[in-house]
Amino acid sequence: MVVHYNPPWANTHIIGIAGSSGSGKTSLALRIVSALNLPWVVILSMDSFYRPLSPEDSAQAFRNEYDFDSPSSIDFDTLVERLRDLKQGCVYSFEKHQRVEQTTTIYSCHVLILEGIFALYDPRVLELLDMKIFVDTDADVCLARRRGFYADFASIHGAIKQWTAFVKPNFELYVEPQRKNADIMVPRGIENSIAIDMIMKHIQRALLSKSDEHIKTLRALGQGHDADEPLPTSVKVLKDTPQLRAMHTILHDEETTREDFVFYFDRLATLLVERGSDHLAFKPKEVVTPQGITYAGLELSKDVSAVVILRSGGTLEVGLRRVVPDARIGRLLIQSNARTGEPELHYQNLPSSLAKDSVLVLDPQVATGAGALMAVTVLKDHGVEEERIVFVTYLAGLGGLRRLTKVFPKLKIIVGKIQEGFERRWIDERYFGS
Amino acid sequence: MSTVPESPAEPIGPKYKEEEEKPQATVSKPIKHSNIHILPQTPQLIALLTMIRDKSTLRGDFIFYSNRIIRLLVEEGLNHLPVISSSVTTPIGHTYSGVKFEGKICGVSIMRAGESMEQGLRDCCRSVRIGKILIQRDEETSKPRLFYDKLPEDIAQRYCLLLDPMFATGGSATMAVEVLISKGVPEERILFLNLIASPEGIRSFAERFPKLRIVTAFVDQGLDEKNYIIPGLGDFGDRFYCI
Repeated sequence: MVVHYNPPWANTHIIGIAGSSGSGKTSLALRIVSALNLPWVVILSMDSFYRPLSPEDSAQAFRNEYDFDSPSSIDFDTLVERLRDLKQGCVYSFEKHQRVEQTTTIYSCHVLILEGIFALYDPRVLELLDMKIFVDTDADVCLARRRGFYADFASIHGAIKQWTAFVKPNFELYVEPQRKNADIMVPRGIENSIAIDMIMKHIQRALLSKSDEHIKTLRALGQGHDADEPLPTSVKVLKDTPQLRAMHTILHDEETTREDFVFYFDRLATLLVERGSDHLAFKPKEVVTPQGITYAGLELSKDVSAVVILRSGGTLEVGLRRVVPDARIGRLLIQSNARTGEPELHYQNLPSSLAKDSVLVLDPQVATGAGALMAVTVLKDHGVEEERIVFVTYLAGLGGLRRLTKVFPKLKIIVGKIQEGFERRWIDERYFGS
Repeated sequence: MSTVPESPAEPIGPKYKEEEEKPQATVSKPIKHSNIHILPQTPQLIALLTMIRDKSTLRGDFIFYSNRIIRLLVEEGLNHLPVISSSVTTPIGHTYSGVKFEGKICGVSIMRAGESMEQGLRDCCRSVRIGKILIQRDEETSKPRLFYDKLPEDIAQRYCLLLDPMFATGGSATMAVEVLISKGVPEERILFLNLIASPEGIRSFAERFPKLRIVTAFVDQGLDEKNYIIPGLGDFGDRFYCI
C-alpha cells in the first residue's frame, strides 16, 4: 500500500500585509524575516504581479500619469493561481520585476509573507491567508516616504502629481476599505515594536505546529511494520562477498587511518554507483566492431544527473565521478534539527535538466529515512519521476528503508550494508576528518 | 562474414521489471565450467561493452569505459581470495565482527595489452606489486615465444592476478601460466582476469588448468579465420595505446 508523505511546506502558512503606498509594509515584512532568520520564511511582493505595461501605459508612466495604485493594475488571477500552487508546496519561478530579467524561485517555504497595497483586496486571496495585517500609517508620512522613494529618477513635482492624482483618491477608494478584512491593524508601521512582537509570536507558533505535524507524520510512517517482513525488490543490497566484508571491516574499524578510510570508502562508493547504474534506463544500440561485425548492445537512454545530500553525500562523489565523470550534480542541504530531530531543508541547488534525466541520489547513511524522504519529495516536486530515481547509500537501517519504500514504491535503493539498530551519522566525520 | 553461430540475445534488466520492459541485447555465451566466472550480464555491463566494441568510439572513451569494466573484473577476482575473521570496534563504540584479507597478492600483466589493466587493479589495491611478462608471436613459427619476464622475487608466496584483456586462442596466456608455475606459484593461486574471451579458447584453457580461476566479462561468438575474436573489439592494445 502506498502511503503519502507531506513535507512541512505542503500547507504553507500565508500572511498578508496590506497598507497604503509608503506605509512601511515592505520594511515590516523584511524586519520579520530578518528577525526569524530562517530560510523557510519568504516574502512575496505583489509588485511581481503588475500587469505588463503597454507602450501607451509606459508613456503615461513616464509622465507620472499611470495609475499604479489602482487594483486594476494588478493581475489577481495569476496571483491567486500562484498562491494556490505555493500553498500546495509547488515550485514557483517568477520574474522579480517586469523590467528585470532575473528570476527568483520560491520553493519549500513554510511561511510566506505576501506584501502589497492590495494584499487584502481580492476575496480569493483572503481565503488563502492565514493572517491578515493592515499597516496604518499617517498619510503625510506616506507622502514624505514616497517623495524620498522617487527622488532618484523623478522630480518632487512628479511625486506630488502622482500623489494627488492617484494615490490619495485610490487610498480612500480601495486601500482603506481593506481595513475591515484585517485581523491586526499596525499603526506606525515598523516603529510599532509591540505589534511586530505579536506577529513574530504568531509566526513562531505556526512554525512550531508545522514542525510537530511533520514529526508526527514521520513517526506514523515508521509504524506498523512486521520486523521479519522481507524488503521489497526495489531495495538492492550489495552481494555479501568476502572482499566486501573485509572492506566493511576496515571502514568500521576506529583504528583505520583516515588515508585508508578514504581509499576504501572511495572504492566501495565506486561499486555502489556501478550497481546503481544497473537500474538506470537503457535502450538497445547496435554497433559495428573493428572486425566489421554488428553487436546488439545497449546504451543509456537518458543523461545521468546526480543529487548529493549534504554534507554526508559528498563522500560518495569520488565514486560518482569514477563512473559518470560528466554527471550534472545538484545539491540539497538537509539537516536534522538538533532539538527535535526533524529534518530541515536549508539549501537546494538543482540542475535545470533534472526533470528529463535519470537521477542518482547520494547519501551514505539512511537511519530513520526522514532526510531521504524529504530529498526524494524535493526531486519529485521538481518534476523527476519516481521510477527514474536511484537512491545510493552505504549503511541503511531497516526502519528507514521500510519508510522510504512505503512512500516511494517505485524508487530504487542501492545499499552497501544493512544497519542493525540506529546509528548516528559518522561516515562524513571519518571521511572529511571534521 | 563468418559462419560462427551467434551469441544469445535476451531481454536484460533487473528482476522487478517485466520481460517486455527490458531492452534486448546480446549477452555472453554461457560456459558451464566450475572455474570460469562470467560477470553478471547487467544492462550497465552490456552498455560498457557496447561502448568499447564500437569502432567509432574515440580513444579517450575507450580507455575510460574499459577501465570501468576492468575494475569490476578486479573486484570480482578479489572475491576469490581468502579472508579470516577479525573483530573491530567502530567509531561509535560498537563491536563489528568482520573479516580481513589474508595472504599477499601481485598483479602480472602480459605485455602490452595486459598493462592497460594495471590502473584498474591499482584502483582497488593501492600499492600492489606488479610483474610483467612479454610474450610475442614468432613470425616464423606463428607460435608464442617468451621474450622477457620480471616478477616479484617472492612470487611463489603470492596470489597472482594475471592480466590480459583479450583471450583468443590463449597461446600467450597458457605460456604465461607456465612461466608462473615454473616460478613456484601453485596453480590454485592464479586468477586470470580477462574482458572478452573466445568460447573454444577459454574452455580448453580451463580444462588444461582446472585449479586456476578465470574471471571474464564476456564470452564472445568465436574466432574468425585470422584467429580474431568476433564480434570482438579489434586490437585492444592498439585501441588503448595508439589509435
